[in-house]
Amino acid sequence: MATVEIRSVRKAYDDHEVIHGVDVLIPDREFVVLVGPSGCGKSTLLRMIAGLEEITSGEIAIDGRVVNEVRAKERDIAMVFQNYALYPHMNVYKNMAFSLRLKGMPQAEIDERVRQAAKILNLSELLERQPRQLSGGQRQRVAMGRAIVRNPKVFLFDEPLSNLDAKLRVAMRTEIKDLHLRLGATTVYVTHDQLEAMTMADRIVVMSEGNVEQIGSPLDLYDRPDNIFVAGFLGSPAMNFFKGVVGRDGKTTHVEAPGLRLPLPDWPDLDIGRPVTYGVRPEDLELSGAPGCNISCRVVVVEGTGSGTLIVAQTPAGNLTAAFEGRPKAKPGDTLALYPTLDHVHLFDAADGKRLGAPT
Amino acid sequence: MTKTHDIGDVSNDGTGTMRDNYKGYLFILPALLMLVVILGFPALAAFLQSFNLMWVAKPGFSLGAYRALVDDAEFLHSLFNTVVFVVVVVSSHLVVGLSIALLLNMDIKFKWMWRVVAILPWTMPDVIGGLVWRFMFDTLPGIVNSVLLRTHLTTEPVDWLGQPGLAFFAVILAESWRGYPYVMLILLAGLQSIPRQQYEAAELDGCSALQKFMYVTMPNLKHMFIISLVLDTVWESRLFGMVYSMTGGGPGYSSQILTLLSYKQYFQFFNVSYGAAMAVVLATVLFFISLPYLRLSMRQQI
Repeated sequence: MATVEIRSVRKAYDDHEVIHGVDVLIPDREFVVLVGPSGCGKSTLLRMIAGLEEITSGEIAIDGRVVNEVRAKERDIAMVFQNYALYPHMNVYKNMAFSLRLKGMPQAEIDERVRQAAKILNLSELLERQPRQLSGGQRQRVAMGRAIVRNPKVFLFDEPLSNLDAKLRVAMRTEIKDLHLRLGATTVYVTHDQLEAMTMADRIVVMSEGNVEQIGSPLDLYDRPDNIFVAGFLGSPAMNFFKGVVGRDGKTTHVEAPGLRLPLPDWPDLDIGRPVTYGVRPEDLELSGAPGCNISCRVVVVEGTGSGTLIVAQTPAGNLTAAFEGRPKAKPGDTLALYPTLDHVHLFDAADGKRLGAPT
Repeated sequence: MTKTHDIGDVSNDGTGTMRDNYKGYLFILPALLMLVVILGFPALAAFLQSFNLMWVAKPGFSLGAYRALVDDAEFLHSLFNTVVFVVVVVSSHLVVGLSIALLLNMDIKFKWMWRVVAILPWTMPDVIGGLVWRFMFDTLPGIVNSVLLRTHLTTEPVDWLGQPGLAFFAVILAESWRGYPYVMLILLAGLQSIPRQQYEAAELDGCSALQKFMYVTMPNLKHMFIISLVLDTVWESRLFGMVYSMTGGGPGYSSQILTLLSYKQYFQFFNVSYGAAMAVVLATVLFFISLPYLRLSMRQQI
C-alpha cells in the first residue's frame, strides 16, 4: 500500500488549461473522494494518477516515487471504470486472471488469488459466466475483483456506480466501503454525487473548474465550507443563500436582504454595511425559536418524503427550502415563521464567496 | 368494476396490435412489389430455365443442363478460377482493409482527408476500374511497363494481359485494389465501437501494444470480421464488370470466372438453360456461404 502525492499538477490540452495547479496529499490507507460537477477536472486528475493522461506540469508521486514518466502498467495501480471495461470475450475468471497471466504468475497462485477475490466479492458461483450474462452490479463486482487480485498499491475508481440504478448504488456504496475497510488499500474515488462522497470518504476533495475548492473530512466540509461553492455543492437539498448587507439594530446584528431581515448570532469582526451572502441549511430552520429571530415566508410546496417533510417557501428575497423530521402541519399558501439555528448560520463574502469567520 | 374494464382494454389492445401489423405490411408493400419484380421474378425465371421449363424452344423438365456442367472443362476451369480469385482477393481485402482501418483509427493529422483517399477505389464503377487497369497494364503506353522499363527491371515490355497466368494475376491485383475499402469501412466501424476503456484497462493490466491488439482489438472485431468475410466473399463471387472490361476472361479462358461464362453462354451463345444452370449453382453456393451472416443478423449481434 502507498501514499499518493499530487504536487502543483496542471493539465492543458494544447493551449487550453483544464487543471490549474492542484495539490493533494493522500496518506497510506486513506479513502479519498474527488467530487465536483461535470467538467471540474476530477476524472482527468484520476487519469493522470493512473497514467492514462500525461501530466503537463507538476508531479505525482506514488509511494514516494515520482511517476510522471512511468508508464501506466508500471505504476502498480488498479482502476475500476464507470462502464466496467470488462473484456467481453473472457469469462469472469479469465477477466480477473488476465493481468496475473500477463505477469507470468504460476497458475496455482493465479487460481488462489482469483478464488480468494471471488469469495470476498460473492462471485464464486459466477466464475464461468460471460460478462454479457451478468447484471450491472455483478459486472461492477467483477471489475473490482480484477483490481483486487492484483493487490495494487493504489485503487482508483472512476464513477463506478453511475451506471447502476439507485437502489443498487446504495448497496454497492456499502460494499466498496466495506472492502476498503477490509483491504485497507489507499483509494482514490471519483464521483459527481455528493452523497457518495459524504458517505464513503475519509476525506473529500471538492473540485470546481480545474481547482481544488476545499479538502477535508466530510463533516468538516459540511459544517465549515470554505466558500459558497462547497457550501452549495454538499448537502441535499442544498443550502439556502440570501444576498444582503450586514445591519445592526441596537445590540443585535442581522443581514438585511431585500424585504427580509435575517437573524445573526454574535459575530466578531463584522463591519456594518458589508455586502455578504447569508447561508442556512434546510435542516437548520426550525418552526420555533427566540422571538424576532425568524424569517417570514409563504409556503409554496410541501413535499413529504415519508421520514420527513420538505417545505419550499417564498420570501421577498427568493425561495428557500426547509427540511423537517416528522410531518409539520403546513399547506401551500400558509404563512410560516422559520427560525434559523443561529450557531449553524454561514456567512460568505459577497464578492469572492469566501467564508467569513464563524459566530462566537 | 374498474379492473374488469381495464382487462377488457388489454385484450382490445391485442387486436389493435394485429391491425397495426396489417397496416405495417401495407406500408412495405410498394417496396416488396419492387423486389418481387426486379429480384424475385428473374430469380424464379432463371431457376425454371435451368430445368428447361421456360423461354426455351421445347419446354419440358430436364436435368440436362446440370449434367452437362460436370463434363464441361471450361466450366470446371472457371469454377476453379472463381475459387482462387475469391480466396486471394478476399484475403487481401481483409489484410489491407484491416491495416488501413487500424491506421485510420489512430490519432493522425488530416484524418478525414486520409479517409476520403482510402475510400476512393471503391467509388469507381468496376467497369471503369477494369478499363483503367487495362490501360495501366498495356504493353506499350501502360504505366506498369513504363516503370519496369525505366527502372531496368525488364528490358522488354511485359504482355501482362496477353499471357494466361499473368492476366489472371493482373485481374486479381486490380480487384484487390478496388474492393478493399468496403472491408475497411466495416472494420473501421468495428474498431470505433470498441470502448476506449477496454484499451485503458488492458494498459493498466500490463498489456503491450501487440497484446492489446490480440486481446482487445481482435476479439472485439470478431463479428465484424465474419460479416466482412461473408459479404465480401459473396460480392467477389458475383463480380463481373471488372474482369469483363479488363480481360474479358482471356486469353482463352485463363482468367474467366463463373459469372463471365454464365453470361457468355446465356447472352452470346443463347444456351439459355445452360447459362441459367450455372447462375443457379453459383447462387446456391453463395446462399450457403452467407448463412453465418444471416445467423449473426438474426441474433442481432452485428
